[in-house]
Amino acid sequence: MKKKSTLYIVLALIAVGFFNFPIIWLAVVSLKPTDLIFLAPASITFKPTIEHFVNVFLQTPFLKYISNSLLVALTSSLLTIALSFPVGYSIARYKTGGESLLFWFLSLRISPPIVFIIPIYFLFKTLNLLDQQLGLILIYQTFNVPLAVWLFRSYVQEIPLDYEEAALIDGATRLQVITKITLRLALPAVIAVFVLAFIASWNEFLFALILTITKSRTWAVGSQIFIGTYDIQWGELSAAGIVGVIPPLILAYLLRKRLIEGFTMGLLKG
Amino acid sequence: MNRNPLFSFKLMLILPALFILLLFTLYPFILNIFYSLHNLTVFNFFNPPFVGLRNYLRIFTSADVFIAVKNTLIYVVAAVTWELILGLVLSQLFSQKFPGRGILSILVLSPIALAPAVVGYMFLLLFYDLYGIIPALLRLFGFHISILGNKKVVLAAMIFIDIWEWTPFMFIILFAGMRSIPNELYEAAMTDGASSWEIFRYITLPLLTPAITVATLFRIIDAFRTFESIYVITGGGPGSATTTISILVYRSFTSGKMGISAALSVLVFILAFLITQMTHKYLFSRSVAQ
Repeated sequence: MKKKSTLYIVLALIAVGFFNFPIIWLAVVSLKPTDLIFLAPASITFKPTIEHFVNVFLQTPFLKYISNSLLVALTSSLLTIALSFPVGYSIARYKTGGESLLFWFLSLRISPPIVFIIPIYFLFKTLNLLDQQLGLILIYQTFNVPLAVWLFRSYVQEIPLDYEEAALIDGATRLQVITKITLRLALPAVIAVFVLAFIASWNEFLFALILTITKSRTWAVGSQIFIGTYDIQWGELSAAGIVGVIPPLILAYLLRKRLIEGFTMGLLKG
Repeated sequence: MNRNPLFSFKLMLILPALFILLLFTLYPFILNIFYSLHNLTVFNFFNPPFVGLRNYLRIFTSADVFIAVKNTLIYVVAAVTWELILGLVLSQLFSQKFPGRGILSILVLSPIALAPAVVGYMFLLLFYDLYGIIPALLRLFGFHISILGNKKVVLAAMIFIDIWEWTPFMFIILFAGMRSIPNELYEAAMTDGASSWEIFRYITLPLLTPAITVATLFRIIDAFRTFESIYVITGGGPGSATTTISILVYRSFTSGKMGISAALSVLVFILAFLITQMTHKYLFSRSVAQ
């Protein structure tokens, strides 16, 4: 029995190594002096340097890209909550649109974004939304709202009607009931939607690539400036990638208790 | 609920979301069909000349489209198959009891947090001929091969990246599915003297079918639309060795062949819609059965 569990630990460690090595290597290169990146690509013993991180922020508009992404991701995930919670509520409580409306929301999530780029490009051109943060905020609703509606609907379904009915008898309006009672009871779902929508918007690439030019470039697309026609600034590229991973990691860290609890509870049960 | 005096209130609740989604999905879709029948360029998008089905004819006779469809199919089938196998192995492994499995199973999930574009840069860094760690290691063992410049292996490298990026997703869903199988079934099988292969084959696998189907369908849909990693690493090259349908739509868009790009988009949409219908049918027949 002892032998078996050693084998399992070894196999699990191999899996962890496999899925983490590329990320660790990205971090290693972001700290490696430039000459070593070219002369000894495989070296792991060197004096770490922060020059690449400094260059990323001082030599390029990366700070602007990051603040663009933050603004777009924050605003669009808040907008997602504002748009989707009423829909989820309406479908859960009134069966609005029946199964077909719900399925329509799901099918939006499934169609590849690439099929929309041409009409969206010209639509944005007409509406003067090209290279505008508002344009990205609106277009990100197309993939965040469908998922959010599904989450909110299933969460609201689980909330007993009693609280709402009691408030209605006390003379509250339906709208007050939704904002003051149901929304608060559904707070875990609201947080989950916020995190998912934030990360999806923060990491989005295709729409940002096509619909932004300079003014509202996001970090995911903007970090391409380190890939030149003839050479790649490896250190800066890696540093930019590491910087871009930080906001989702902070969010995951803030919610670590939820994540670990949910995950280990399932593990300990067996 | 229909007697409810708030009949229109429930519609008010969905209207804002509905308006934005219709404006940015249904309207573009209709516009796409219109564009696909016209010779569209950046300069004439208000009034493009009508060309009938010529764009579609050019698609069906184009070698590029044939190669892109072939590459996409190879990519999707190979990546999803490996992800399913590795996902099953991982969830089987983490279903065993051993010290540290809680933290180790979370560490396996790291790729999920990464932006697809960063995954692209990261593997460019690993695979790059001159300064990449993997070619450097291969050289140590005497293999002087180029990964990204070799038409025979470059698609496999892209598939490898997809497997790396998405196996954890497969693992989560399959693992959750395995946790929901009642323990009594395993205990009964063990008292009957079943081997661990028999337990896997006759208990785990059949009861895991719903989870496997959902995870596989989601992965097929996502693998089908993969764009970032290929765009960042090879841009579809060398030649058209890694050109998938998404890359081809993007390429014809940026090279000004927008009518063709629109016609391709319509076909991709129909394909995605058919897959969705299958998912829908399956998911709902499952939820009715339960």
